[in-house]
Amino acid sequence: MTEHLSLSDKVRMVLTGRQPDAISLKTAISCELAERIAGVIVPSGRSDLLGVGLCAVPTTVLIGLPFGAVPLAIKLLELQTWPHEEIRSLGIAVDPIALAESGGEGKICHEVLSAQSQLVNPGAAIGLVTELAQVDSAGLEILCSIAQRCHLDFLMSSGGVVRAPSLSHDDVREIRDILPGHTELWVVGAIPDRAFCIDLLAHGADQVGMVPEVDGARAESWQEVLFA
Amino acid sequence: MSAEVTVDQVVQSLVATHIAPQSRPSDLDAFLQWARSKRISIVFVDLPSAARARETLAGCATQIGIPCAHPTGFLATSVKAAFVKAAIAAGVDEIDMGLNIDRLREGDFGWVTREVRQLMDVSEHAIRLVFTADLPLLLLADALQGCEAIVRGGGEAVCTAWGYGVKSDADLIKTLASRFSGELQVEASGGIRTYAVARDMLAYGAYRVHSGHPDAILKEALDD
Repeated sequence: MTEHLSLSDKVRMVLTGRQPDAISLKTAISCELAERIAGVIVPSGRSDLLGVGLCAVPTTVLIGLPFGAVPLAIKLLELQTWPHEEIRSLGIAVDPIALAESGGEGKICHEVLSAQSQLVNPGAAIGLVTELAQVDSAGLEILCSIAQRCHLDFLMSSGGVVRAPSLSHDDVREIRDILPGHTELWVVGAIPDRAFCIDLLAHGADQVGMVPEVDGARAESWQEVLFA
Repeated sequence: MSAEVTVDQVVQSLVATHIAPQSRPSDLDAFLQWARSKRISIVFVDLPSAARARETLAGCATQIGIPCAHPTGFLATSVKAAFVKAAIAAGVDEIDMGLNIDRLREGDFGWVTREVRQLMDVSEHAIRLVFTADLPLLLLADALQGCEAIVRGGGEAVCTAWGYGVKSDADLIKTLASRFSGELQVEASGGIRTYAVARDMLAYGAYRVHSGHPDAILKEALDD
């Protein structure tokens, strides 16, 4: 039965990588596909896509890519380069060194609150982005604590910039169990097919982000991926 | 051909990078201590770690570089400019500055030239800028025009790839080094994991070689 399930409200297109078919993806954004996905995830430096119809799609803007090791002042400057009314949600890449260091939790909370205070749209969701498959259990506990303290709306498992190890459905279940209920789990990248996508959702992922470069999903095949 | 490049030249030309998705403080410290012990010419770390690198490498001739806008170049020019200023303030010697891969792919070379010029102006030559893009992902004609755009913008160095699975081959290095001799320093990067490849890239005209596996290259060099 799930084979005929529409995933349109669960799948986001991630445009953070080096897609070889970026031009066709731009075309896809500007056509009917945009109306049939949950949203698009872009790095802050791609506001050029607003000119090809991105504003018609719920947009998540990521700052601090690729791996979060960017000073807070620069991350906040990235935020200023986007028209804030176009930001439906904001993802902040976490510095892995900060995550592993003493006092890192406070530093990351400060980043979240600083970014939050600058968002013009008070309804914009806010979340953290990290290569979750490579975070150890201590780091995961800190992320969950930050999610609680800062009332994060989502935790995203990869920025999608480079190929990263994927989360298994067991990983997803484990993370979902310890993540606060109000924090959605967005699993991004290394999703080979529709069946895997459905499996992740069944095990607790709230959203799935597909990276065209990583997942091999070219623009013309998105319809099949989403609506088999 | 390769015999013309000495072991010392390879060692001196090696750019050692430590840019990883989940780097831990202990990994960074081990890398910096290794670089200090091997007297590496230049190490690349993330900007927030530059101060730590400066401290660990105090008293060494080792220079410190950082990447910016890697690996796609998808960062507003104003943000890249802020990065340059922050890096200068942090005492960084060099930035591998990402060029927007889509602008290159789409042939918007005028835009690239303008960005290079703005960033060179901001740098005021207080820091070395190496303009970097995954050139192997482009058509050769676009890669060449991209390099011409860098020259027109006043840029003085180009790096051929960010790695992360993208590899530069010998033909690309030979072509760029020959075409832009005297105009651009061509730094080879992407897939350089062995001493032999590093040595060959230098023999083909590369100014320097970047590697995320410098320890393996050095070990082979010393065994050579």
